[in-house]
Amino acid sequence: MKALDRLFADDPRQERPCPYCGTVFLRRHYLAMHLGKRHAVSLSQAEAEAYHAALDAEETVFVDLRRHVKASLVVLPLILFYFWALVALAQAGGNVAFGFMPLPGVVGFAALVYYMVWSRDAAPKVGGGPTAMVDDGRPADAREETVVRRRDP
Amino acid sequence: MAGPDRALRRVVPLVVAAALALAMPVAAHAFGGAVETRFSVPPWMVWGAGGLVVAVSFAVVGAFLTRARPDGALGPARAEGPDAAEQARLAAGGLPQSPSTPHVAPGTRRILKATGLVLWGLVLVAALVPGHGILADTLVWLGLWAALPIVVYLVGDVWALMDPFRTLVPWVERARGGRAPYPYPSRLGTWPSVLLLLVLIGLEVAGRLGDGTTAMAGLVALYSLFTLTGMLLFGSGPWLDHVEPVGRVFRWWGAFAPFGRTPEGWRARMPGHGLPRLHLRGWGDVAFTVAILLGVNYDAFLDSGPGARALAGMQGHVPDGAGLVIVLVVAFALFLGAFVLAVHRMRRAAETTQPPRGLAMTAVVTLVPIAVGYHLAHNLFFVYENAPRVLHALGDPFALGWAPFSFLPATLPLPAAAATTLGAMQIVLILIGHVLAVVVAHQAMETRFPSRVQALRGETPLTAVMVVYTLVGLWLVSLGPSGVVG
Repeated sequence: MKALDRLFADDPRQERPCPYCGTVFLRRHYLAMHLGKRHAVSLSQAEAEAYHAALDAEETVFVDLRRHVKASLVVLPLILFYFWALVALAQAGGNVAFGFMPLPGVVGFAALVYYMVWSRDAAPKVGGGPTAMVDDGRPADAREETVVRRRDP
Repeated sequence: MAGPDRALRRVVPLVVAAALALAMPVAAHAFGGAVETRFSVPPWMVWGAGGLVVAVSFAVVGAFLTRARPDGALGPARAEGPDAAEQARLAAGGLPQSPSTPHVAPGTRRILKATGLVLWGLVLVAALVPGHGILADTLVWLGLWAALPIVVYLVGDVWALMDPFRTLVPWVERARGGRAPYPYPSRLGTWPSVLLLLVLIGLEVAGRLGDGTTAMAGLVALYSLFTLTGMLLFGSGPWLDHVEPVGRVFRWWGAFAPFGRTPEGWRARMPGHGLPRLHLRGWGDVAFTVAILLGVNYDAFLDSGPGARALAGMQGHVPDGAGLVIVLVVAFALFLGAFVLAVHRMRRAAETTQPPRGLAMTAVVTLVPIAVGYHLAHNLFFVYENAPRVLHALGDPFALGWAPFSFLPATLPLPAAAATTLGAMQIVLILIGHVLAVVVAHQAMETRFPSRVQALRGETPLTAVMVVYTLVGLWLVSLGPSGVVG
């Protein structure tokens, strides 16, 4: 979950009261989201930009999370099947030590499948989707322009 | 991995400790005697799979059931508790409203009211007939505790339409004339209903065991007297709103209902849709919700091997009946403690300055789907098997030997060969309840926090508690069927 690390990288825990309603938030990110959702009508330009940046950053976190969950869901049946085979072997009175012999292979295969599924959904390297390039300091509109130009020279 | 890793490190000990605490009685059970479960696979595998289903559904719901771009302007934060108009109405002594009550024609409403009054009257009469406890036992235990909730959490709060105390409100008000002599002490909140609910749970379980005595009927008569006195002294509205637990329990069940009838006709919704509109008011209501969950599990626990052994172990050391009370109080303290602990963990995981009270009120309603799952699993087949008992008991209300329903069998026993299938169905019901709870929790938390990341992190401890509740529930179901009517 690198995206989550990046989300709070330069956002240490600190009391940040909302300038409109006084609710205290402990991260700049949470305050930006709160401002955008609760005080949308009274936002300044900078606050609005911060909100949209926060939305983008949050989407990055969720894209990242979805890749991991998808990969886990693909690998889970494999692990469960192996586990079931182990239990069945034990219940049938077989030698359980024998059942552990394919363990390295199963783990390796599971890791490989996980990596394949995880990397399959990776964000494109160039241009980025709606998910890449969050903290480059430019407003969201400028970023969209860059993407369009690179894809369609 | 700073954030979730730390959150995970905080949650994992919680799960491990709970699992250990659970494993000890299980192990004691396993080594203490022959393990007999209704499953053909090892029971720990079933529990593990159940916990896994909850955890996986949390991950899937958390990752995929989120709007990519949440609405920019959601308006002001939702107010906690009922809105100003509703508060003013309640303060003026108005009756509490159950939002899920089905809308029925005035004629049907009168019929339901009359039915409620007649059944209540029959139970009161049964209190006067010595040795005729079967009617009250059947109606209260089988009808009010096992069967009616199933109707209510499917189609909404039907009990509000037939509640005899609610029907008697105009008479009570007229008998008293004018305002109530005492104002309801508002600093008690809804805690009296928590206490009464626990007492009723304990007494119902004890009363169910008494066969042939009129204990249950006497209890109903006593309780009716108590409630009517309270309504006279403190006002019907405040009493039914803060103290009378039966109507409140059905209000809670009804909030789950996926079906409902509005003036426009029948409608279907997501199960648990009405839960945020329960408008809890403080820790008393939080404890009340936990007590409902406990009540659903309590009888199953007492029927189980460890429960029975705990009671048997206490016999002789404590006065008669005190064992039940001790088990009840300890179990309630454990349930409530686990939940309060989870709320504090949620606050830390979500890095919020919100007071725990509001967070607890948002989070606790997500226990209702779990309670529904347990209740259905424990009672569905029980109600089916014992349904004829209600007719037989009603056919002879005065113990005169009438038998108008003698052509019906005494019970409708389910085939023994279907035990495995039924056991699997119980597991599925419990798991459905838990998955619904995860979904409801996710939606509730997303309205609670501005950031989805914050909401998801805040949900983690709640999910851990749900996993623990799943394990407890599956363990209880694996131990055997719910009880018998006297």
